[in-house]
Amino acid sequence: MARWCRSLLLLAACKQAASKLDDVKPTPGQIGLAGTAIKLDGELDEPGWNVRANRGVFLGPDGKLARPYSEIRLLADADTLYVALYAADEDIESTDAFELALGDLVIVARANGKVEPTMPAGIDRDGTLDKPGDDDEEWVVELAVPLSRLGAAGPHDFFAKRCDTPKDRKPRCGQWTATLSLPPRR
Amino acid sequence: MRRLPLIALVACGSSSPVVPPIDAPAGPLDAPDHAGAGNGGGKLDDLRFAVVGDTRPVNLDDTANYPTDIVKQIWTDVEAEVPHVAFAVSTGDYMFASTGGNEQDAQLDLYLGARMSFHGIAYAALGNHECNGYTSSNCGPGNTDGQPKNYVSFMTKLLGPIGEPLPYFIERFAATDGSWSAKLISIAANAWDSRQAIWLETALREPSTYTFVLRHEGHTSTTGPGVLPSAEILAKYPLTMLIVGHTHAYIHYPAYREIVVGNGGAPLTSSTNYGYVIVARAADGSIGVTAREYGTRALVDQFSVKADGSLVP
Repeated sequence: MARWCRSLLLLAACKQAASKLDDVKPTPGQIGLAGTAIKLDGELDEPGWNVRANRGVFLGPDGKLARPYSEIRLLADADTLYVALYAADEDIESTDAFELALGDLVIVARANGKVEPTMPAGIDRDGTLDKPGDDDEEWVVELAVPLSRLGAAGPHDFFAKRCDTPKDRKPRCGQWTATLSLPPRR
Repeated sequence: MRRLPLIALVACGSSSPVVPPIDAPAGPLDAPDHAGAGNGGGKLDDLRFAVVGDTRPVNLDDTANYPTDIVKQIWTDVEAEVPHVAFAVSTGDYMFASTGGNEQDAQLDLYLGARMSFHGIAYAALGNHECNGYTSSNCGPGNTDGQPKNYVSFMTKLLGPIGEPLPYFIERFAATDGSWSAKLISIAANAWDSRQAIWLETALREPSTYTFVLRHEGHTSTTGPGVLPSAEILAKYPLTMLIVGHTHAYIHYPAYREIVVGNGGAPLTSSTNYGYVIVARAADGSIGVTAREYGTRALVDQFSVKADGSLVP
């Protein structure tokens, strides 16, 4: 009887801790805690992506909002850095890609779902691939980068870039940079 | 009370489709007899209105990052237009909210708060995000996706105040001097059914100098349930302009008599910036379209069409 009672109390305490985490904004300069399991599907529907993730909006060469629009969001847990890359895109092509530099690690994540170097990833596309006759909307890539590939806790220099060629056939680029530390390991 | 053609009332109330004969006698457009644009339309000195596009945030349920400042600036720019526009239309996708969550009202409240920078009536089209978010979604009583919170919130907050009980509607305008008339038909492509099809046929047959049709998805988004069926109906009747959103950009498709105005704050998919469009009747009866960038109000595009939608050379 006492064992199940203790289990219930432990479950209640865990739920309370998780709900408190919902209100925890990332510490400036530090990547936010994921808080819950992240499913790599490009949907970004876990609460942490809105509430605790570091969010960066790409800027163009003129320092203004990049067009087409791109943004990056970052979360981490004990073993993994989760990276979400959002691309608004009227014409999604296989050659469309984000370039990431996470410290010394360089990653290319493509709209066709390929990621180099290989790592766990998921992609969601709202539109068609390589069909310029219609109007696409966006694609989102979720990456799970093992912290072991980043080395020390940081701070690390983060850099992300995306160049896109909309239907007017004029390439446009946007980028984001930040220096961030991983959350402290317990 | 707005008077509807008797045939339309019968069509809406009966279970068997009733389509008026093609040669039914045409009378003047029955615009509400009040000065200025209001519920149902109205009598106007000038035909001049604004178009504002999609505003939904980047991510699902991300109310904290709703583009409120951008939306507010756009509506502030619309308000500053000289001459002042008689009314505005919006092309849909005012939210990005999970139907099982509770962010719908919060996002619409942010939108409406920003829209208050504009002092006038706004007629709002239903977007796919006002259903369940998928372009192929179909909401409304009896339809596949039912009436989720997104749909109910849209109906309550955006259409309730303008007296529209259905997601599709017609607003009728007429010149105070009787020199022209215009009907604005808003199609709900994500709440499509046979009743709306019958209603659309009836609405398009009402005689008017100009016919403006508002629909969230453009001609390229064929998975929207009402896109192809409504296009088939539209092809049979006079059309001045089809005004759509869904694509987060400004685009003009002359061959389709279509303008895409989806750059109201939602993440931009092309090189065009956020902005809005002004549609205005000129003295010669042509309809001028002016697309402007928000903030600077810099000119993005400008062209004119005749009442039949053909380009003025």
